[in-house]
Amino acid sequence: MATIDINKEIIWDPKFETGIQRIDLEHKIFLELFNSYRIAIIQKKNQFELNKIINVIEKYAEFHFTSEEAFMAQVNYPGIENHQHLHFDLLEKLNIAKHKVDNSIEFLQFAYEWFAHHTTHEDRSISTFVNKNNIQTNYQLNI
Amino acid sequence: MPINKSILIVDDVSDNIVLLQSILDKAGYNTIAATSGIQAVDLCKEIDLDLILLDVRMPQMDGFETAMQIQNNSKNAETPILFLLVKTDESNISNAFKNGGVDIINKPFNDEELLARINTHLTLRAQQNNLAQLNITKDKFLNILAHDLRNPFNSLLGFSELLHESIDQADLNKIKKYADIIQNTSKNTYDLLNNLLSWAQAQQQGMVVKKELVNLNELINELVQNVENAAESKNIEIFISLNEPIAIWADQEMLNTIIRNLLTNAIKYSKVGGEIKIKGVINNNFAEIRIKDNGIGMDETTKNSLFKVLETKSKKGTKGEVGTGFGLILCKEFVELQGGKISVESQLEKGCEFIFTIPIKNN
Repeated sequence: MATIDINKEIIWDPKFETGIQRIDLEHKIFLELFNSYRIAIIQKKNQFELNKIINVIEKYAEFHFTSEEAFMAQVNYPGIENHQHLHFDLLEKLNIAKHKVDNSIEFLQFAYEWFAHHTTHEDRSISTFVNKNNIQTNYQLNI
Repeated sequence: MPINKSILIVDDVSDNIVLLQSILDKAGYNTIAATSGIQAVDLCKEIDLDLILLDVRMPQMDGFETAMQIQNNSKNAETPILFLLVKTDESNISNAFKNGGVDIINKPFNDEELLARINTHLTLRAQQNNLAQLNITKDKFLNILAHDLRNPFNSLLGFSELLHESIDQADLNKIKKYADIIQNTSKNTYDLLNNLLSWAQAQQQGMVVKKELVNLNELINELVQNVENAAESKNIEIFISLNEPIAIWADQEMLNTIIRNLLTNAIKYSKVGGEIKIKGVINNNFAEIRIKDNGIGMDETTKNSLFKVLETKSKKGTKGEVGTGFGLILCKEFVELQGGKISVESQLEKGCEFIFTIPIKNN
């Protein structure tokens, strides 16, 4: 996994693409939040300010996982239970990481890897399932 | 700072345990860790805990099953269990309270909230324990008022009536006999009442030990004189052996109650013609006092229940003397309040020996 360059914008990588509009949109927000955190580090914001962004990332992760699980349920994705457990593990890891934030860059690196690994592996399986079964997903269908 | 509160943390992920331990250690709690439900259930059979933090998602045996097994064992059946659950794990969150949990700690968590919830449940538990204890005390108090204090009045009323009749008959022998009985009964009842009131007072928070320099030799002589009549009536000899003059810093009133009760008991359970020996020595900054009789003694079961409020019952003396089984509870309370210890050695039909210690210094 690439090491984060604190001075460079974290950008969307095509390998993150699931092809599912809503999931991709939500994933892009994660990168927005990581960039907010990155900029706050450059601006030498204090721990209190940095913690506020970690809090937003945490809340957003809770929202996104719930949203993604709802999607999986709607398309009858067979691996939903296992995937949900992976989400639980991710939140536990985030909990541990946010308590060790003496090194902000380390947290950013953790968060990015945490995101990238899950997106390119487990979330990819959802899109494989959706494509294989020809499930149409778009906003008009409310999926 | 929480004093000596023990919290068990159960989680299959060691990073989670390390994190919780560091937060709780810093807050002053004693923590114990288990990495599986089975290990937690085993620990709960051995150790008295104040609170349990229990992860729900664990392989083999999950948190709900673990909670059930912990609560089926008497040792920690009442210990509050707080389930650790990921915030988005809604199906388990809605089941947590049905599965024996008093609260939920969501992961990710916030330290202040975690500590506040733990503190709330520890406080609640302590209050429940206090209330239960107060209720036992109240029941015991009422029980004594209802039974043990009523009986002596039957005797006082009966014998004073007989006394009255004897006066009419001018039968001096009978008058003397009944007056003696009335006096003895009154004295016993008065002692009983004093014990009861002292104990009730000791139950109230803030019972203060008022230490002063007490001359143990004088105190024991005085108390022995007070029971001489009772001892003579059973032809019992009392021997005092204090190797040296012993002066200790102690609460004189409490010390009075302790020795008076132990002496009265020794007489009560001695047979006619028995012997009571009182010994006093100084041992490592403690005065150790032994009161030994060669009376009826007691079996193991009685011995084990002697100092327990819930299990106290009175056994009549060898001449039918009554009591409440309460004096020893009071002795234990007063010895411990002053920083000492009390114990008993006894064999059925061979008598018994009560030993208590009191620190001699004033600190």
